[in-house]
Amino acid sequence: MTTDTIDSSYEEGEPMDSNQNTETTDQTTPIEPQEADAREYSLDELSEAAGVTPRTVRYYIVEGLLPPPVSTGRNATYSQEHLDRLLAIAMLKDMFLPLREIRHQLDMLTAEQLRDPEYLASLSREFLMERAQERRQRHGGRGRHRGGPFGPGGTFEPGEFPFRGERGEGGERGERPHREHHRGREFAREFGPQRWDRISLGEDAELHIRSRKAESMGPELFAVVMRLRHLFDEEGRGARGR
Amino acid sequence: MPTIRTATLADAETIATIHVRSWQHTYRDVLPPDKLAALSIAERTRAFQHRLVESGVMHYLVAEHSGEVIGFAGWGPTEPPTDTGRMLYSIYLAPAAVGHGTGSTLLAEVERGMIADGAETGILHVLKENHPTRRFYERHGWTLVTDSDQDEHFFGMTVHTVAYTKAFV
Repeated sequence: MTTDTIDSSYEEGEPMDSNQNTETTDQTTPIEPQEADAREYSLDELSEAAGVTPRTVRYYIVEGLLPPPVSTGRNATYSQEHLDRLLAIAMLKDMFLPLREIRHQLDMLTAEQLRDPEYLASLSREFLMERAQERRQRHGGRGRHRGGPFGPGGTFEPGEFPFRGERGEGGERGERPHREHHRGREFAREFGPQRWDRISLGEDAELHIRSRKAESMGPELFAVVMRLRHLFDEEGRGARGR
Repeated sequence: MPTIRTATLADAETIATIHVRSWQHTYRDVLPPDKLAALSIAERTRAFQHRLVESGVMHYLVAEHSGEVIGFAGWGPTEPPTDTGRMLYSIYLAPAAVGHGTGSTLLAEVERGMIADGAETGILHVLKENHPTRRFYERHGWTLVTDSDQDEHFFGMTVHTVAYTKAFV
């Protein structure tokens, strides 16, 4: 028995200092400019090129979004396909596709499609429109939800882009919106600048925003709403605990 | 039987002490002795204080026996965060507390928390050479991820780790 301590050996939240990881560069790997596909990357090189952390690379391998390294062990090397996939994942993530869906999409792509940003963007748009359509069918198009796409029991599901294809109606002051109408983007255009959305931020707060503004902000608004919801949730929990 | 509770800010120094002593003890044959000796409880305390007040991101549990904290565990989002994945960042016990089921109790509580938080999969990283701990996780249903070797960098040390996962659904 050499050790008697249960220890995951993993230090939580320790910042990864990429500047100190310089010793892993593999000097023996030939890099032929004319054969970009033959390029191999160390973990640090791959992470830097893709703008992700080494932990993220490992997590994607665990989740099946990336294949295992080309050569394994602590000096594992990665291929151009790894980099292409990482960049594609980043793009699909920016469109708020769930990881599971990203994996599904990646599995169906050719190497060329994987490198084509326009094609990737069209994929995510297609997916989101489909999902919105499914939701409309599932819920009969009206009256089931409260609090809008972000609200409790709302139609927004994590990882989904909430402002496309479906939105609630902006109500009068004091009236809960989103109960009566669930329609597509045409609806927003129809009501134009008069139309407002209410997005629930928690039990005691909501965001009131002009639909046109919400539409134009898209993912940024999504990020802000998620942050605020988290904040209000924590604040509420803290208050109850006191 | 130990009791498990959520860690508070007041636990930071105890957690840091267990953490540092555990590294020094467990990795004495694996990591550079001078680097291990240089680990600072004061520094670790400040780091844990910071994380303990960052509510909602990391979840810390402590195991108590007769009013004394004898171990802790930390879990939280994966990197990058996902809806269905949660990461076990740490389980550490004071050396004297090992072998009485405290680790198992902590791990069970962590898994319960992850599942209640919507996790479908758990992931953890463990030092490759830390065979007793790897067996501990294997006994509790965690599976080694093939080809998951990676070097990680902590406190100026390079640590060779492998990944384990467990499906909750």
